[in-house]
Amino acid sequence: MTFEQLVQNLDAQFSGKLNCYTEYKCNFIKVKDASVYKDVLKALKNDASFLYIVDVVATHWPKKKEKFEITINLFSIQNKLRIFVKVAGEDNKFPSITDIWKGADLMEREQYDLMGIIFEGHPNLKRVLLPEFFEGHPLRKDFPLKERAWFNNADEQGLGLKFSR
Amino acid sequence: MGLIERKLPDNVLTTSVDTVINYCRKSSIWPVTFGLACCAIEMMACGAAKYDFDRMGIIFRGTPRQSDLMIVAGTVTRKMAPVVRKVYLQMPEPKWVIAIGSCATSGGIYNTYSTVQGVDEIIPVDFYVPGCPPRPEAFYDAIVALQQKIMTEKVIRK
Amino acid sequence: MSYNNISEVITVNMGPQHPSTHGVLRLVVDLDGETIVNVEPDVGYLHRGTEKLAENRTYHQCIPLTDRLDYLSPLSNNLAYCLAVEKFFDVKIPERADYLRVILAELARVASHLVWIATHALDIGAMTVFLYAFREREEILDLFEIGTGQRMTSSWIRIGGIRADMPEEFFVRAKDFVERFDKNVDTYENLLTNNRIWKMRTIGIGHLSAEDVQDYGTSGPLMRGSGVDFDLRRDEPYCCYDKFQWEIPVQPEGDTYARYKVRMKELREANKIVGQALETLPAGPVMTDDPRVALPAHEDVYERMEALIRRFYIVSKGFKAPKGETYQGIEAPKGELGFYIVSEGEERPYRMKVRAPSYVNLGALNHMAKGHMLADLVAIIGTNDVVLGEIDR
Ligand code: SF4
Repeated sequence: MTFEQLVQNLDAQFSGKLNCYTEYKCNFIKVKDASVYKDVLKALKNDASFLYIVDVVATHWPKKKEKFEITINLFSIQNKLRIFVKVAGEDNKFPSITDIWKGADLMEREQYDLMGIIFEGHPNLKRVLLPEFFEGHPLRKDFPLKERAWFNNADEQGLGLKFSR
Repeated sequence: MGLIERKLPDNVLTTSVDTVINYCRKSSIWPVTFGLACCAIEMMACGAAKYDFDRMGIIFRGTPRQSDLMIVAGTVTRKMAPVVRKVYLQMPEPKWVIAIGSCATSGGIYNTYSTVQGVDEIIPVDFYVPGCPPRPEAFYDAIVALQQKIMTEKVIRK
Repeated sequence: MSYNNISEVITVNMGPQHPSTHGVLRLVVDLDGETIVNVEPDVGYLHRGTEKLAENRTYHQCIPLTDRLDYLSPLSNNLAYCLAVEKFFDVKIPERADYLRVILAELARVASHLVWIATHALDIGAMTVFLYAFREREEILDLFEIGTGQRMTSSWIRIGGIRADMPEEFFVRAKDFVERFDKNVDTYENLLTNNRIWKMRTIGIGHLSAEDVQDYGTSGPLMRGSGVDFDLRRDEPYCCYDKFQWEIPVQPEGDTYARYKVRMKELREANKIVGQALETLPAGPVMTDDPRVALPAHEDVYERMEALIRRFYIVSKGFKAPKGETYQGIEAPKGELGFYIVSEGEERPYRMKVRAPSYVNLGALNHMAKGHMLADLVAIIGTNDVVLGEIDR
């Protein structure tokens, strides 16, 4: 199955709700209507053999109306085809896809940690890379680049650590 | 070591207690395995066949309680900082610290929100080794410098 | 195994300072007696903020950051990143550069797998393999040093080609190494493959089925060890791997021993590719002359004003990538390593997401370890081949 065939099949199912294009040799499927987002992914997994989940990427666009964007990177080993499913939203709430791919668990947690996306329905949404007492989400565009004030926010182990630099 | 002539039998040498103790200490430095990042791979290479730290009496230990040297090799992040300090506190005296790589000495290229800018913010450091990662020869240099430093220490009277 | 009559579950902390967790990995293990009920990896002890840092570096300046992700095979990271940026420009890479990239990436794979076999065996209790494997690894690092000037973090693969051609000595020594290396793999296999202790510690441990691996997104040897025939070098071709004869090892069993066999075979295959590439290496330039990405040659800079200005401009300000998003994944030693780059038409990436294989593979750890003994957890971490620089980024 090539990307064109896939687009045809999807268009039959979700006509007018998707925007499919190819850019720099990557195939994108932009879900315009967020309500069918999970149906598209389920259809891709069950009918189009996209069994292998590669990645979940979140992007922050502070200047756009739809401030957050999720890109799901999928690969079909059977058809040797890679696609990217995109969905955008005005706020940072998106449905979780952990019920479709188990591996999405850790990927979504990372995006929650670094980008502050709330994945609704995620079983264990807490910070993974940064400690619990960290405030804010570093990969957002409004996060200061070098500031390290949070270092002295907590003294988890009571060791009297003080950071000055 | 000097030889007091005629007062003692020929096979008796005299020296100070400090020298003997320091000599023992410098010849059996046991560092705690504390690899943090890329530099730790070079530290492993030092312990392995070609560079072979064993011949200097260096045996890597898994626990801080049996070691007297801490080689901080790699980037120290804020999340790791309390652990580094705790491992340091668990080591018995006398103890020394070598900071390996530009990350451990100054934060290196990672001047970011999560990286501690030099491990000397949390523990005292005896030797800094620059490089990203330093070559095993630089590790050697640090160890030799540390041995020289150990020889100058006063043990009995502080 | 059933957990219906759990008497008492105790929680044990492993790491972050633990000799067998390959860096600063922390595991919180729930145990029923000696049996693992649940493992939760706690990562982030090496989170250095690479992705944020990359947003404020020009495309060229990002290359040294990629070195330090998977520090066991820095050159594959360079390769993945450069291929991703090159997709924006659709640059044509000179053939010789393509070949040299393959040689470097495959040597990096060998170096990485050697660390894996060394530490994996050391964790399970076979010390000798560690010393042998590091002996060979030193040779590869020497090769890198001759060719690129640095043992580990060399940043040698650049956007549009490689930094410079290798000296003659590199090829001589590399050929010599390739000839001998198969015998060295035999040595490791002699020590391990039919070793009774090794077999008992690895067969049936950490099972993953073919459905599971795809569902969890684990890639690389973890996938091929579970009978899924998938290798990006063949399935999404990049560089010039199609010019060489090599095989993709696949084992259907899905346990630690199967993954061991896959990686051992991969060592040989990677060595084979390097050998062929060295044999058929074409002559020519190693850097593209596409003016959008390439630095003007030094000879030009000394003679022509425009070249000097262009060079100064690229070095100090960087070049602009067109607007858009792209992704390139490569078959790194640990699995699929990918860079997802969003460009806003500026000199810096707007967002760079690293698809780190180790991080995703770690997601399957709980599934693999459940129901096994605590001592087997060490074998499972080893077979997962985690590298913390890449997990935490
Ligand atoms: S100094 Fe360089 S090689 Fe060492 S830990 Fe830091 S980044 Fe890695």
